[in-house]
Amino acid sequence: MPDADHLNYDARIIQQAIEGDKQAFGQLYETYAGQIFKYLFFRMSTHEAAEDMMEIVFLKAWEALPAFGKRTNQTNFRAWLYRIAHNALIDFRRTKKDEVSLEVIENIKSKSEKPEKVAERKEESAILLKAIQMLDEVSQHVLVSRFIGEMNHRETAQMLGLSEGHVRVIQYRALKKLREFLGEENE
Amino acid sequence: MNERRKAQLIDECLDAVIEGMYSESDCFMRYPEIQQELLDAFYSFRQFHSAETPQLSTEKMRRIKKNILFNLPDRDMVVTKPSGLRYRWQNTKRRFAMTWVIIVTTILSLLSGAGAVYASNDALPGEFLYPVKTWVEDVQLVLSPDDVDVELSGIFASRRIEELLALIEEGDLEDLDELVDGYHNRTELMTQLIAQIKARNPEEAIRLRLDLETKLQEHALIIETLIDDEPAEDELPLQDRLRVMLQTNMQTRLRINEEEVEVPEESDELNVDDSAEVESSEEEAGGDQEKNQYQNQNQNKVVYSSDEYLENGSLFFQFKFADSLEDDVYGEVDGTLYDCSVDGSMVTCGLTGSAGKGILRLYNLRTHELLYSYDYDHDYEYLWGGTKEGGNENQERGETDHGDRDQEGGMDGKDK
Repeated sequence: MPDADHLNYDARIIQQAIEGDKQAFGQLYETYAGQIFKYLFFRMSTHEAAEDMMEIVFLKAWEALPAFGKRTNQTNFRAWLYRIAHNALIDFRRTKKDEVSLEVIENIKSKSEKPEKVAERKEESAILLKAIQMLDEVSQHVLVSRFIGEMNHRETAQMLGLSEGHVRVIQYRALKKLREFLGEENE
Repeated sequence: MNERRKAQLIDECLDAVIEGMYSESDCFMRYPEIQQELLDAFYSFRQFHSAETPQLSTEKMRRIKKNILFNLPDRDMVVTKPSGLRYRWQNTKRRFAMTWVIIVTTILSLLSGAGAVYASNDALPGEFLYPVKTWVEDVQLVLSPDDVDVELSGIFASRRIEELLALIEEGDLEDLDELVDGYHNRTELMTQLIAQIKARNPEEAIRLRLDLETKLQEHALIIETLIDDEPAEDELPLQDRLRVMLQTNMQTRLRINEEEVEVPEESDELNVDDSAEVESSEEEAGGDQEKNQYQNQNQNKVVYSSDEYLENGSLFFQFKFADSLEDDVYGEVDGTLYDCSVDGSMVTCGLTGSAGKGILRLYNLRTHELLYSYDYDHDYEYLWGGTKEGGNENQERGETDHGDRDQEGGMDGKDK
């Protein structure tokens, strides 16, 4: 959890970015790019697609920044940024109809030339990515935000405009489906 | 144990395991009745936990940052105070339509005198020159081709938001109805034009739709900002109108994003009557449903419509679809979203706290497609009086069926 000093620092930088300071926005990028990249990677399954989408997400964030904090319950910049990433992904998929092929994941598997354990881990990750892609958008968002973005239910619920209870149910169903997709082994 | 309870317990267990308070075995011992669900959840969760986490190299981070900063547009306006919301909208002045404005205002100036046209630019609803302002807009729309009209309709809808902020700033709330109608007209026009363009040129429709979607999202953000959760009594009329505008906004976004939009006939009328999509579904439901319900033609039909009932003090509505639903569903009343649970073909929505009567709309949670809308009117007295704590729930639900309402004629004949 970020401490008060950190929050104050963030708030100052955000305000400067709202006022048009691009360098301040660059600092926000430095702070959040890693997290947003992870999120996008797990939603899109390739480095290249996630990198491209990063640019779109941060450009959209810049455009939407003046509206940040105007809603009474909207004070969490990270959650707000995740929401922008989620919306950008949905827009992208609407227009591109999922150009990101799952074959790319297969390639990740086959190209892996690292030591055995790393290869095994890569393979597991590839299978997980493939399974995540089979879930609907909202379920993907909930699981990736929760377990990769380490967000709590309140943040996730705020992002989606749903109640925490509803998000829990989505998570419950999504974990169950994911288990089915991942197969019966290991248990 | 119902699904919601299971979801809550599993979530508690996951949080406790993540925080190191419980082991997985502790959870199994604590909740043996959901052992299988816990196994599934922990298995999936472990995959996330052990997944290889991607990292961006420093070089790539820098390259992306450079690209982003290079492409950032300058901010012309600085929004630092609450009243700045109004000024933010001045940035949405169109570029493309400016040419038309010059042409049209020149013609109008020659015909009716330049002063009136130019002075009308800043007119607000209720002011003498406001009809001139909207008339100029109408002329621009008539003179422009459809694709330009789409952009213009977005710009004009944004103007209504500017005017809204200006009226609020001036404390003049008497003429809000005119403004709300104006916003409705412009957004209806968007829906109509997008449908027409989609029929001719789907790719162009997508491009235009994305631009509109951005504008409409901005509108929604501003309206949501203005909606106060607990308004003072004298603010209620304003809050009501804001909710209507938000509802219009949401409806428009859903309609322009629908995969299959019914193409309306070409018309010079700028106002669109949406009654075409409202249909009576009495026959489909064996004469047991109310009139003026929207049923998405491409979707699974609702065969058994809302049965409202109370359970543990909470109000629920139930709908039965003809087939099982694959996606989750949520409800919306006056811009407020409500949870719904899906069990096969049955959808149950909790509407506790909603207005006594209104329109409940059901949407697909994944695609946000409108599935069904339903005019409801709680008979609170009956519902509260008819509830028996610990009684037969099904019987209670049955007793609140439409037969009672039909006798009262409570829901028939309402306009959507």
